[in-house]
Amino acid sequence: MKGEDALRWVLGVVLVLSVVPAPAQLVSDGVIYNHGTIVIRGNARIQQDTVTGTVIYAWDREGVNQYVPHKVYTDVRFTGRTRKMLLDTARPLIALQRFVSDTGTVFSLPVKAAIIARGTAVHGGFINPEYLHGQFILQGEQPQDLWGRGIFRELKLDNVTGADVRNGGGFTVTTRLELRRGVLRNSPVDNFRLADSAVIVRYTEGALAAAPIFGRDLALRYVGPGRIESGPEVPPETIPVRMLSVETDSGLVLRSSVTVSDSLVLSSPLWTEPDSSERHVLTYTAEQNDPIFLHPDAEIIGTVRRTRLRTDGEAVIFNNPYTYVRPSTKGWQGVAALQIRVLPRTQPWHPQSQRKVWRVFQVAAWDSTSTPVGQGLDFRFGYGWRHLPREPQRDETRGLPLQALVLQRWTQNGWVAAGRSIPPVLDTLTGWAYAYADAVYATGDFTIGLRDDARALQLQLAALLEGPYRNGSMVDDLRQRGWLPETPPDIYPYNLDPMRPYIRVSPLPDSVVDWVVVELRTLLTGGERYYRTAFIRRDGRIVDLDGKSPITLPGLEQGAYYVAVHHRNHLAIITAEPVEIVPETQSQLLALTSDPSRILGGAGALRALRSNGQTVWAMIGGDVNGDGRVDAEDLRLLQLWQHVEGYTNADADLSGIVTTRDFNVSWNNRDRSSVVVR
Amino acid sequence: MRRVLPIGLSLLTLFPLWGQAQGTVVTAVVLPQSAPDTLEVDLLVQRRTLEWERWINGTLTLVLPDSLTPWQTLSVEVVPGSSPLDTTFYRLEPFVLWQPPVPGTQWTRPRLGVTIYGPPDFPSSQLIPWDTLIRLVRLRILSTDGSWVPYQLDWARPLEYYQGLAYKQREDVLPWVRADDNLEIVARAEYRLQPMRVPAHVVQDFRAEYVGDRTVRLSWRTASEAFNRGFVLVRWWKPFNTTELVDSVLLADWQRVPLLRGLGTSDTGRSYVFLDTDAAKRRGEDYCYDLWSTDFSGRLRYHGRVCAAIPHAVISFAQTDPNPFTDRTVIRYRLEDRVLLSIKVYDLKGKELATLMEQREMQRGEYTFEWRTPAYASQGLYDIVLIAYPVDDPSVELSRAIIKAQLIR
Repeated sequence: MKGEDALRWVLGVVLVLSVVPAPAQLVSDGVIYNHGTIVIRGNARIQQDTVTGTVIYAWDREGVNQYVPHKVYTDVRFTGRTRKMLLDTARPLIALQRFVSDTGTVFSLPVKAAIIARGTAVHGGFINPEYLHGQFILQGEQPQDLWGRGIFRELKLDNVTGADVRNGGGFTVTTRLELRRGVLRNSPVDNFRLADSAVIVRYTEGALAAAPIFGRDLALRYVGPGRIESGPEVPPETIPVRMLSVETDSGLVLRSSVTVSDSLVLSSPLWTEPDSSERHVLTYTAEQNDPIFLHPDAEIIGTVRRTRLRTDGEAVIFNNPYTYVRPSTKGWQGVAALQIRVLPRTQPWHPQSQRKVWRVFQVAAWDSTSTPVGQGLDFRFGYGWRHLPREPQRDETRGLPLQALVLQRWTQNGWVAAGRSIPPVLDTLTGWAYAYADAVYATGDFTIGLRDDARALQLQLAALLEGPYRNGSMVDDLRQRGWLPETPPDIYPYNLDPMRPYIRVSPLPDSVVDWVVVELRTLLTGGERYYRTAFIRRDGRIVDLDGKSPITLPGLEQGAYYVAVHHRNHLAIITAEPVEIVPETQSQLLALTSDPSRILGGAGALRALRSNGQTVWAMIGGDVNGDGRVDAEDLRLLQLWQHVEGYTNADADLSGIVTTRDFNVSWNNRDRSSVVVR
Repeated sequence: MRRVLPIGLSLLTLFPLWGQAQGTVVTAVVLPQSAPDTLEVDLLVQRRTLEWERWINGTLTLVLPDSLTPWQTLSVEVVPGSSPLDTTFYRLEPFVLWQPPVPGTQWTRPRLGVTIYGPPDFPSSQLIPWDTLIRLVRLRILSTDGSWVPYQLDWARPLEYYQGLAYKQREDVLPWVRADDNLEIVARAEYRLQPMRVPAHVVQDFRAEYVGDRTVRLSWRTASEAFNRGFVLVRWWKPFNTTELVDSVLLADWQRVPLLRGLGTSDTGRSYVFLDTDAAKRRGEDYCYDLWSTDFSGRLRYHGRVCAAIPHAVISFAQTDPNPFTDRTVIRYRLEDRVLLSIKVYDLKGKELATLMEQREMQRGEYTFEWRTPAYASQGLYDIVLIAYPVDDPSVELSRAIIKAQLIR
């Protein structure tokens, strides 16, 4: 069969076989077993799928085409002035071990044709001088080498083990560099060039090892599932990115500043601040083209600077479709550049932080001489935030009444209303709430907060914890030792509050004993429940995160609620009767320390303590595992955790260390349990 | 099982201020350190209040100076039999911590001590008699690598943070406490420390005496000792007719000779004796001895030098009394060594008349021997010859003394 197959391969018009050094031994069973070199100086027609050995397409006559069959070659080389025609769009030409094209070799590939190199690729030729297409794919399973001074139109890397640019590199990619899988390992020594206006398409699994030699501009596209961190494919700020398109489903993290000159298209978020130590800027220099946001989640988290402000009086859009600046009829009044830093899901700083949406805007402006402009402006500031009541992790409104929210600016007097805000509009389809404020006269830090005259529901509450109670008040040893966490830990009861992960108070206010969770219920058992994490102070007052204010209750409807107090190692208590929750001007102190009859369970639910000849009532301590019962398991844990220091549940007296004192707190409350139904 | 240790009176004299104490006093008494790798501490409680009666539990925590402490090489144990607490009801857990017991938790400082848990009920709890010192426990702090355990202990402070001390409530005092509650007294307790007394290191009466057999007996005594691991003796040879000492040798030290081990730290001393039996000494020469002691940190302290002479002759003295004599005379002689001694009497012609002693083993010392002349002995001059032989070789004459004695009839 092999002999017959060998006879079946037919050569075209001119076929020259030169076997070096041994005579030709062509054997075929679908494969031409070539142990030497086949030099083809004419058009070739090969019926077999695969040709081993070396094949050289070497027709060297100007103005003539040499047709190259798309086969699987082991080692294929192209040389000579005759244009190499690779016209088969049904299958690619594949070079298993080596692809070589000599300098001056010209290839013609239709749109769907492709060359696939699975081994070394040395390209000195020119693919499609007349067109912008022409795929060359690196698709090996081992690391591949790549060099040559040729020109690729479309170079694609699809090799998980990557490819190494060797021998100084030297090639140019003119249309498109697609990094689908694997790393293209270039370096300043072994590098390649990107032509002006080339596009880099980077997938989640693809990357570039070092910056290529950039042209005057380029376009960047990020594609695929997951989140991508930008790399050396992002040029320095002096080289503009003509188009930046984020098409991943989880966004892009910028690890360097970038200048975008023409279009910015986002399908998912873009972060310019990877962490607290890195802060980059996305500078957008297009005047007319505003950024395009293709998905509700698409926004720029971090800083956007716009250096060419449109002069037609229209709004200039920044981080998301709802964050914009529009000049008044007086125009920009000398402002040449504007920058907005948006920090979503960020609690504005005190005071009154509980009355704010968790989003901060930092606005800066410069004139044509790059001098900051802070005052004397007049513009409309559009602002938007995520309003997702059913997704507490993403919701920024946090229950505040939408209609009472206005733009506020940080001044020496705290947060002050900025401009004239319109009532927010809610887009329930996208989960955005947005509004704008006219007559904003200054740059600075902005947030969205309750109007000063808005009355939030408020609860003035006091309770005592038995553990830290000593001689008339509670001790704040944990805070003094610096062991009170700035974010409540992910344990009972703090994990009842869906906002827990987003709470961070630094520095902690004075006199704070520990974190507690206040719960409001419509029914003793079942019903709707509302949780708020708060501080308990030395004097027993349960206060908001500023350490002073009564607890504001955003999102709660006015009415009567049972009020429960939870602590991590004290038994929870709850009022025996519902308490009317009213706006702040009417609220009175609800002290759960003096009259046990106000508590469900009466004296049995509290611990009596002597205080200067009087009796006060405190929450029962020693529930180390927080299961609502003080039992043998708590005592066992206390002995297990002897000598441990820090913020631990076994520290029943909240001193910071576990000793027999903590054991005794639990022992003295043996067999007691909470009546609060969880 | 409950015992009141008979230490009240003696320790009260140590703490004259105790008479003024009201409430509860907890005292740590650091005991004199007898060996560098061991330190013992008594933890005592004294109740001078009627507020409570039975002690239930506590965390008693001590610290050492940070600069001195190789914390990781320390261990601590309860000295067996040192606590009156009934182990049926009480659990004693000594501890040394030099790192957080739970990795990742916070940490203030290394410390050691004991945690004691008591029984659940009042009747089983330990009664602390009023105004009586009770030793709760004696802790033994050990160095696992033999290094010196520092003795500068102190209570871990702040007291209300590190210490715990509670008594058992007898009956309900509602609504505040229930019977069998454990009530803390840490805030009202006074924590005292009796540091280890470090006396002077006094060495007296260092003497050297030749005791025969070319043996020098060295003796000294201590009035008190401080961190004394033991003594070291160095011997010098003082050649005849010179003042210079040569050929020093390390004669003995406490590491090889148990008798030379010191008391460590002790208010009371003891006597030490060492016999230099080294046969390398020569007769007729003087030998000098230096006495040193080694403290816990390995430093040597010098205590003095004494010398002793090895006599030339073995029979260093011999005479009779009376002389002349009529029918009996007493021969007095002195032996400087243990020897086989012969005493014979010869007349002037050299004829042996009597053998008074034939190679009898005699110890070093002074002796008398009465010689009664027989009735037939004639008047005249006699030679009483004393010959000493080595005990291990009777064929060699070692020393000879001849006394001329005149018999008068």
